[in-house]
Parts: sequence; structure tokens; C-alpha cells
Amino acid sequence: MIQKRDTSTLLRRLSPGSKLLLALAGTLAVIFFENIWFSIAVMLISYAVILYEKMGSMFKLIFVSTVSMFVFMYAIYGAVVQENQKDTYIGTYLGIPYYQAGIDKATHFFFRIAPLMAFLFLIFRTINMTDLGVWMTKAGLPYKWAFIFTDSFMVIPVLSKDMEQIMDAQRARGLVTEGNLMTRMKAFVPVIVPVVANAFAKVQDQAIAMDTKGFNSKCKKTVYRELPNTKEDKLCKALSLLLLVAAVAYKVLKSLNKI
Amino acid sequence: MAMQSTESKSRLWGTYVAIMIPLGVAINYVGGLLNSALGGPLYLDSIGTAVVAAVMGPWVGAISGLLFNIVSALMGGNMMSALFGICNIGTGLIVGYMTKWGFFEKWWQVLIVANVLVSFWNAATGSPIASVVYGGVDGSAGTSVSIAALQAIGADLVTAGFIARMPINLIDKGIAVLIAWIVYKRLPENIKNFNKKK
Repeated sequence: MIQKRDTSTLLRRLSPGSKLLLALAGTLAVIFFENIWFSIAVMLISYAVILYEKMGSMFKLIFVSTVSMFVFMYAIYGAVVQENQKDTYIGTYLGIPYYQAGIDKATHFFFRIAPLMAFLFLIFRTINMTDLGVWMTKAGLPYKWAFIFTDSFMVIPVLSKDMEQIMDAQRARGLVTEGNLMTRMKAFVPVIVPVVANAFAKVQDQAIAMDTKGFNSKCKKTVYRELPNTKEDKLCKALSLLLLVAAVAYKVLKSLNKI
Repeated sequence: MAMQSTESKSRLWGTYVAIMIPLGVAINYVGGLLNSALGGPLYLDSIGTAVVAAVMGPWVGAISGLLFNIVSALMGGNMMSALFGICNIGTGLIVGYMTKWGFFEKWWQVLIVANVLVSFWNAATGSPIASVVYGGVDGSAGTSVSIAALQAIGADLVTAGFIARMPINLIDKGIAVLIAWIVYKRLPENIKNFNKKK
């Protein structure tokens, strides 16, 4: 499956190599700096770009899980602390005592995870999977491995669409998908079984089609698609490398107690 | 569906692997998505691993499970959650070897043996991983509240995580292996034969 290249925004124009380096640098920076302000900045910038890229509806589910993680982490960690941390008591809310040590723990975990949820979502949802496959093959990864990795991202939307269609069809036949928990859970099996069975029904034809197109041939695979390496790519790689080096250096110096 | 010769099947093995691994990843993802859409309290994201392991064998299932966690970590942005791939590797190996050795045939083998083994593995490995990634509380209502309650009565984080996850896993993985078994039973023999003991 060949994915059409979208060059409408700067982020979408960047090549997969630049984006992967940016993703690595950003991830290590958030984890190694352990700085709440840096994490908040990454999170807010990512949210702004997600809105700018009109990916809000795709991000909705992740945003809801971020909010639920925030609520549970602060509510539970804030209240459940070890005996020797109880002198950090800060107040009672809804009849539950809260402690600073617990709040600090929640902050540590939440601001390590939440910014990356937005940042990596943005990077990976704007990567062109065909370009990523080409980049991986050119980087020396065996063709089959690159195919398996990129195909995993491409099959998901196809199967999700199948699921929506099957769910609509089952609803039309009278399946109830709303109501109490038991009713909703009962709707799971009549939807997922046809989705999985349909997907498996296509496997044999797909295998023969791929074999006919030479998937199994032993010769070296070549690609026609050229990957762009624009000025924007070079700038992105340079900035990412700088961030990466800064994050690693900070971590090393911190572990040596030099900072 | 026409039966394939042994030679053709062996030649197509690599192609089947290249199709089945991403398919397992996608089924896991869609399972989780459907569970969220229905507002269910479970995960239901290991159906693909179990089906692929039953059909293609333990190691292909295990790779599919691991890749699902990597792909889902990248798509969801929570890189550290890729560590949960260890849970899915176990699911693939258990279901795959049980099928290979002929213990994935009857409903009781699936619901009692496979379910208990898979659930135990997932609770035992999921608990320490969750404490590394999230500090124990992962944002799912049922598990988080149970962990907090167990910690409040003195259990340590990993033990509380294990005890809280085990009943949820028994339901979650029970549904996953049962659906895998239903689908596996409906598949044509030539596809099922990929994972039969030689």
C-alpha cells in the first residue's frame, strides 16, 4: 500500500529520518531533564501544533486518558504515602488527607508521561509510512522487517474502518451497544469475532498476491521513491542532535553530581 | 478454499508471517479501541496476539504481541508502555505452545488452563512494569482504586498491583483467548496447519 505524500505543513514535509531523530531527542530530553517547566512547554507546544494540524479529533481519546491519568495519579499518590512521609501533610480534601510527598511522586510520573503522549502522537501520526519503509530499507534494515513494521501502522486504519462498518451493521440488526456495563460488554463479541474472521479470510489471497509480486524473491529489493533532504530537514536534524547531546550531557553530569 | 501443497506452504511461510504479524497488531489495537468505544473497564488488547500465536506458532505470536506494544506506544506517545510487550510475549508463547501441543482444542482447556496461565503471567509481569512506568497507578479506574485500597491496608506496591490485576486479567484474557479459540476453530485446515506439531 503506497501512502500519498502530504506536504501541506512544515511538520508533514519533514522526512522520517528527521522526525525519528526529533522523537528520540524529545523523549530523552523530557526523561533526562526531569524539569516540570520543560515538560509543560513540550506539552503545550504539542497541543498547539496538534490543533494547528487539525488532529484534535484523533487526539481526543489520548487526551481523555491523559486527564484520567492526571486525576488518578494525583488523587491516589497524593493520599497514599509511606508512614515516614506523613509529616508532609498539606490538607484534607473530600475527607481524604493529602501529602506533599505523594503530590511530588504524581508530578514526577505524570510530567514524564503526559508531554510525550502529545509529542510522540504528533510525530508518528504525521510520518508517511511509505517513506518510513523506504528510509528503514535504505538505513540497512531487511526489507521484510521494514514491511512488517510499517504495515502494522497501515493495517490499523483499515481494520478500524471494518470494525465501524460491522458495528453499524450489527446495530442495524438490533445489537444494543449502549446502556449498562453488561449490555455494552455483551456487544463486544458480536462485533470483534466478524472483524477478526473477515481479516483472516483475506490472508490467503493477500499472501498469493504478495508472492506474485515477488515478495519472496531472493534478489536485493530496490525502491523508486526518493526521500527529500531539504534545508528544513537539515535544520531539524541539527537542532535534534543539539537537544540530544544536551540531554545526555545533563544526565551524565547529574549522575556524577556535577550539577 | 483450495488446499496448498506442503512445498507451496513452506515457500509462502515468510509471506504469511509478514502478513500475520501486522494483522495481530491491528486486531489487538482494534480490540482495545472497541473496548474504549463501548466504555468497557477492561483492556481487550491481546486478542490478535492469541489468534496469531494459535495459527502461526508461539514465536510469531510473541513477536506480534511485542510489536503491538511498540506500535501502540509510538501511536499513543507513551514510550515506556512498550515495556508491557513482555506481558504480550508471554501470552503469545503460552497460547502458541498450547496449540502446538494440542491443548487448545476444548473450551475448558482454553478457559481454565490457557486463561489462568496467561492471566497469571500478565498480572505477575504487568505489576512491576506498571510500577516502573506509572509508579503503580496507570489511570484505569478499577485497577487504580484497588491498588490504592490494598496499599492503604499495608500491601507493597508490586503485591497490590498483582492482586488488583489478577481478577481483571482473568476476565480480560479469558475473553481474549476465548475469541482466539472461536476464530481459530473457524479457520480452514491449511491455515491452522502452520502451527501443528510436526
